[in-house]
Amino acid sequence: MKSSTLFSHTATLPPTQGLYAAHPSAPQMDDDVVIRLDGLTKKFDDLVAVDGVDLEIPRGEIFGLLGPNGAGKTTIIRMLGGLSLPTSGGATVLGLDIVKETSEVKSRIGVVPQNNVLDRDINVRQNLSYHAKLHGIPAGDIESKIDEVLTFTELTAKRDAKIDELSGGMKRRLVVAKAMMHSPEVLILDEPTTGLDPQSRRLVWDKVMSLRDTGITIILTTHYMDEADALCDHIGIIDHGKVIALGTPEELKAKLGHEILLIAQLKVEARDRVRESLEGKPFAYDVTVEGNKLQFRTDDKKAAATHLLAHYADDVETLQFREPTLEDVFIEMTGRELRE
Amino acid sequence: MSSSHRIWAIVEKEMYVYFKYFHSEVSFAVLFPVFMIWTMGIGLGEATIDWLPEGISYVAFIMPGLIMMTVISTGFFNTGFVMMFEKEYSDAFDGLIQTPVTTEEIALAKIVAGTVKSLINGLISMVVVLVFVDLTVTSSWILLPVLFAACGFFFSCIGLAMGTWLKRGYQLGTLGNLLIFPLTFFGGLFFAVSELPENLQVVVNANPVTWMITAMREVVLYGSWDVGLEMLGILLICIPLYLGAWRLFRKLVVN
Repeated sequence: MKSSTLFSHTATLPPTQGLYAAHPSAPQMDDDVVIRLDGLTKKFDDLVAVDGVDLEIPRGEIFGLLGPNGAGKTTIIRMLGGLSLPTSGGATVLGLDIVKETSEVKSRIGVVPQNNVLDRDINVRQNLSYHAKLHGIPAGDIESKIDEVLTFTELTAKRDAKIDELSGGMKRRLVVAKAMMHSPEVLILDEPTTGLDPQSRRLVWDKVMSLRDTGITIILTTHYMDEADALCDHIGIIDHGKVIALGTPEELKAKLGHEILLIAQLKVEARDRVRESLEGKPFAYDVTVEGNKLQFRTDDKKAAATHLLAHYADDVETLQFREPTLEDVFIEMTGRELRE
Repeated sequence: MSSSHRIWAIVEKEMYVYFKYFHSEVSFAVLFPVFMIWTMGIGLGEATIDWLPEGISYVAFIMPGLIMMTVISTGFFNTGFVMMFEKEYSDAFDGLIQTPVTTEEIALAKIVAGTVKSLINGLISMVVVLVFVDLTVTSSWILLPVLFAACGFFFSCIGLAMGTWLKRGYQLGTLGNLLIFPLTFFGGLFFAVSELPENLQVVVNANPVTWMITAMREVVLYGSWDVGLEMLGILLICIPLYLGAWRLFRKLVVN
């Protein structure tokens, strides 16, 4: 399959059917699009970090923004959060212009950035209280809201703990709690589970899904493809500042056609011989070798297996077929070249 | 939610941290005048300096300038270091700018917090000096908090701008020393401006720190209320300093 056929030229998603709770102060919008990017561009000197991105994200869904390092994901998120100004183009969040109505946008979105934006000079409760005051939550409501978000993130026992006493997973949950303090309608999660152990990751996943169920629109960036697959309703893959694919996880995987992956463990001495035998064969694409493992994509499982077993039965130790994953799609679309 | 509430929230938190580490914050305000009184007392002893006003010792003469140096240093270094460390080494600053608070509100809150810290440190230094130096407290001393606040605001603006612009602590330390010591030493800290050659007096009198030290000396040594011109000059310069600090802050924080 040629990579170009995977590229999507449309970046408009259908609205997701499901639960959502409109914020009382939400302006009337002519449709159900919560976030709209219109030719959004950001340049840093000669580097074009975000290159004219058009995108619409409907209300009440989890939208995954995937891409290699430096693809432009965080720059988009920083612009949506009012932390960086677009060079050209624009965007609206909840119908509000991100440049002209920055404060209003910030008051209605929650951001969980990659770093733990916690103040180490004050404790857990004080961090949440400070955030609440900056968001204008009435003094009489702050303590009950703190209790609510700490319960949600399972941090009630750490209410008076110092920040340095928290584990990495607790800090990430506290950042989520902080972002939830002002009841945002849109939550932006920038790599929320990076560095967490599997248990903490699962807990964050559960919380993200339960937030979606309350009607909050969530934008998620992640390098974990299983996370995107499990959580996201729609996914946009971005590379070199452009959206190069868009769809549901299933739609994106389907773009690899009906191909499956064949993975064979071989005797090391046979590895190069087997690989050479596959060159030019109509049933084998993208043959790669790592150690004694040979892997290729195929749309003719029978022909591929027959070729290996008929000619190299003594060299093949194991043979395995696997359905394509989101990671396969990601690698297919963004390449194997290492990004710094 | 009004702008003043957001500014107050930031000032309140800054002051909480200031009092949390009060022992280290206040050490300069206490030790600096004590050290200077001690060294000057030993070094000069009962030496006679002919240009000193009658009845005023040299130690007493330099005390207003030294107290003002505490105010100036607190405004510049405290505001500057808090800003620089938050921006460069702490993730908390990212959390702050994600809230609806504007860059103007953050800049003003940081400067106001620096001003209050300068005021407190100045008053502490004043009390310390009173323990060791024989000064007559007069009714005009009520001007001192206003003077400390004005001078603290002045140098907090410069501190905020430098703390936003610079990325390393040693840069801020070096620049601060290059700025504060020449300005205070050429502001008549150790000498009477009237004793300088006339052409040099023009230069020294154009230095705002000279106005600060002169006003301080007038109030503390002579019980004078006549410091309006110096105060006006300081406050007028505070306006462009604040606008410059805020614009630099906005430019460097949101880009």
